[in-house]
Amino acid sequence: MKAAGNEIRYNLTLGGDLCTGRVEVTREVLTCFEDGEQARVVAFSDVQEFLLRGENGSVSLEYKDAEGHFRILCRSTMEHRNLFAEVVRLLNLYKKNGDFPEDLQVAGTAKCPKCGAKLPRPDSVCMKCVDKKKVFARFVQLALPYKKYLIGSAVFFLLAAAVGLLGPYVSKVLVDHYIRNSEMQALVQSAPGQVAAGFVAVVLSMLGVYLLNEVVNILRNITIMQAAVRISVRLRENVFEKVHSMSLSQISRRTAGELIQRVGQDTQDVQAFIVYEIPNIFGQVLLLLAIAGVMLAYDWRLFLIVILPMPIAIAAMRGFHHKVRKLYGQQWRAGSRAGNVLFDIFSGIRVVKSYGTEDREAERYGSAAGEERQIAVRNEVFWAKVSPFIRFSLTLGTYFLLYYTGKKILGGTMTIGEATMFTSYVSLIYGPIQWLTRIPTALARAVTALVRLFDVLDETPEVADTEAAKDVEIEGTITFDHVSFGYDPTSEVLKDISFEIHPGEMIGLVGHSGVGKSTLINLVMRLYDVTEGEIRIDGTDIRTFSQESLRSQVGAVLQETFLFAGSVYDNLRYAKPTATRDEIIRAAKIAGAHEFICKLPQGYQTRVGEKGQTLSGGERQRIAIARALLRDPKILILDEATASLDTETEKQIQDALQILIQDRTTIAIAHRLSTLRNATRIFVLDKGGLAEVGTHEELLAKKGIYHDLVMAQRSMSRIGGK
Amino acid sequence: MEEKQKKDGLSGIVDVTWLTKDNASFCDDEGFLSMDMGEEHYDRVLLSRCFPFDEPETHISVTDCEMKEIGLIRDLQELSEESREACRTELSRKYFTREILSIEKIKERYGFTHWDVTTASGKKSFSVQDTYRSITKITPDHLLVYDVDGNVYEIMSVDALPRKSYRHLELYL
Repeated sequence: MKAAGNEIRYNLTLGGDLCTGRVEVTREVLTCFEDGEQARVVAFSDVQEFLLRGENGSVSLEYKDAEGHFRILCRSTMEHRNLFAEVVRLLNLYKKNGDFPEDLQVAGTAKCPKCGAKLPRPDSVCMKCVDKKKVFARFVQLALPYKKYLIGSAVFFLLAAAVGLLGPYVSKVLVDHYIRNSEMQALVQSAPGQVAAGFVAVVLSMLGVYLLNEVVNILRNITIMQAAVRISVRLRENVFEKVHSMSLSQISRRTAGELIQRVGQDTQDVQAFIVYEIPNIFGQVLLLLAIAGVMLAYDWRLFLIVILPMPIAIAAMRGFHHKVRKLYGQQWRAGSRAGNVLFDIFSGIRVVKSYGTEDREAERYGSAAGEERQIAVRNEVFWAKVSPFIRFSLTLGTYFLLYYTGKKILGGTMTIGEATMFTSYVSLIYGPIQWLTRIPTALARAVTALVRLFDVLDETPEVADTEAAKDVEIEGTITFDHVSFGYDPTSEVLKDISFEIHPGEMIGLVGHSGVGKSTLINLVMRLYDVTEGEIRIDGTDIRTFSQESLRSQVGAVLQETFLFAGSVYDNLRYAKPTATRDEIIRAAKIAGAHEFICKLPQGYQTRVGEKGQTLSGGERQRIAIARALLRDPKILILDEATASLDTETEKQIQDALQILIQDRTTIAIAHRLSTLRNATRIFVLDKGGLAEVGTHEELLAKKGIYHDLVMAQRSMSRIGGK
Repeated sequence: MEEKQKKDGLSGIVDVTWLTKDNASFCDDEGFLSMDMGEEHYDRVLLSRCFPFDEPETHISVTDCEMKEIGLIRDLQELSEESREACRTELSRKYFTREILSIEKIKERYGFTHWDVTTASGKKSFSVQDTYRSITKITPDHLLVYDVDGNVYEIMSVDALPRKSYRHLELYL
């Protein structure tokens, strides 16, 4: 009966020691083997439910036995976490529906199918195996609309290289014809005007070459910048739009820093690659080839003399580059740490002052700044000691060249002008060589940035509109049908919840912190999709609604109201950009916000700080209510809308809320249970499930969890009253 | 009472149940930790270190499966020998870390670092994303490294690492 590959691998014993373990899974039993020995056997008939528990650095696959006792099947380090989560889901499905899982081992693995390297998420791209050619092909696609700028800049790079070659040649003419020419003395006597004119012509040619070089460089920089900025801005816009289309759970998997890095730094890296590297591919390579060609044409030995010390110079440059990156990376991080400490102290300056801990904070900053100073001094000493050697290794070829050309000049087979020209070419050749040593790092950096960007751009939104998604007019019936949900595979927040809310009802949602109240309302707004079951509004699965249509009819007033940087007016209009000023004033009046807004120095056009810090908590909440009013939602969500306010302000806000909830389906979360007294029904959540449902009076009479919560709060307020 | 409050200003306000060999015994039961406290038997209890970096064996919170605290262990030394060992086993299960003895290679590729190390339990390779943020300095010398899966690796003393290992690590400190 055992299916091929139907086993679960794990690597810790029950005691927590490392082992080589596997669970053989048949339709009847689960048999654990550790280091080849049978360790335990569990019959499916003895299992009620499988569970997953994550610890710090390990994870365990557990089950509830027939008597309801927790038992452990196997334990593993974290690399098997996703696998275990999927296995638990499949084994529970087997218990429930009898669908026997055929290949457990491949379930939930986050590995690259090609090289086997671990990936942070199952849908991540393996940076090692990603087809770089394809990445660049996509990049070319992206750059194609700007090809005229790219071709233009390539032409200017070629021109710059050609002009660069002219300089040393003009120097040679100057030296050989006018400075070291023995016949020139006689010519100066006989035809001074002719000599002077020739000399001026050569000098003017040098000046002309210099000016031409500068002009070409300016034009080159302008055209390449035009292309680079356009491409990177387009990329940035694409990524930004994509991030917005992701579900909250997809966004939450990445830190804010990571997303900012994607939008900001990675597009910057791509821009840098376009500006500094792509045109160089034409310019620098051509310059290198041209110089090599000129040298070979004159004397192949000369070419060898210049080329032979190159490996030493390249090795020195690469080693130096690596070391410098290491040292300055440390210095940058130390500087950043010191900056963070400073930011931290200034952000919390009120606390610092009130606790009188200025000296302690000064010491903390002093220590961070001291570390930065120490690293900076060490780096500067290193730089001072090593850079002369690097410069020397770079110019090593010149000494060989001097010796060789000197010998040839003395032997009369080379002119001083030619020697000057070669020396100039040698100094020119180091530019492209230096660039070539940098190219692998630049390429790797660009590929990394591009792959990361494409990774975001290619991600399929988890909460996405189906093709048949439709815009609907909501009436307000909300149905939860056996809904389960967990943010993390190791823990289910809501388990098998079913209920129905009728249009116009006001539902109070209560329960201990962390029980899943906010999660439940996030599901109503479809910020996440349910793991199992279905949420229906007016009898239709909300996954068939267009998200825009759903959310435009759901209004939310949360505990903390975020105000964007801008005016009060902008923040109110955020809910309904088409609202007229009359509408906005009316909404603000109902919400009790109009009065305080008028007292602000610039009325509705007063700018509120980055987080609206110039307004009090109560004022911010009033703005939130006005926003919700403007939106005129069919479903209203109040998540601890008055929790952070004082009693008097809370009373005023509650009055405003009473206006807001009229004729709307409302779900309100509140810790202060007295604010839910008027609720049509109260839902009590406990241990992820719906424990009690009823009116305030019914639930009090029931003397269950709600009763205990109310009693606990009453005794708290009595203590507060004393 | 007044005297007690002088000793510890908060002791009169909040009660802490300190678990010692006089009121509690622990037993490792097929991969779980069970506890007896007076008449009460707990099939399964969970341990959490209050100060996991500095105090691995003191100030340990004991909770039931619903994470409701039953009491605190001030010091494992205050338990009986058997209970102490059972608790140590549970703690090593929960806070599973591998100690890094030497670092053979840290290779940086495409935003990840790939580490080849020797741990107390043998050779191990793992990948770290966002390396600088995945290294936690408990002290400047004592580090924790978190890999992409969430496994924890510990470097007890950076100074005690072999010189070559230190050179690999240096860039990320």
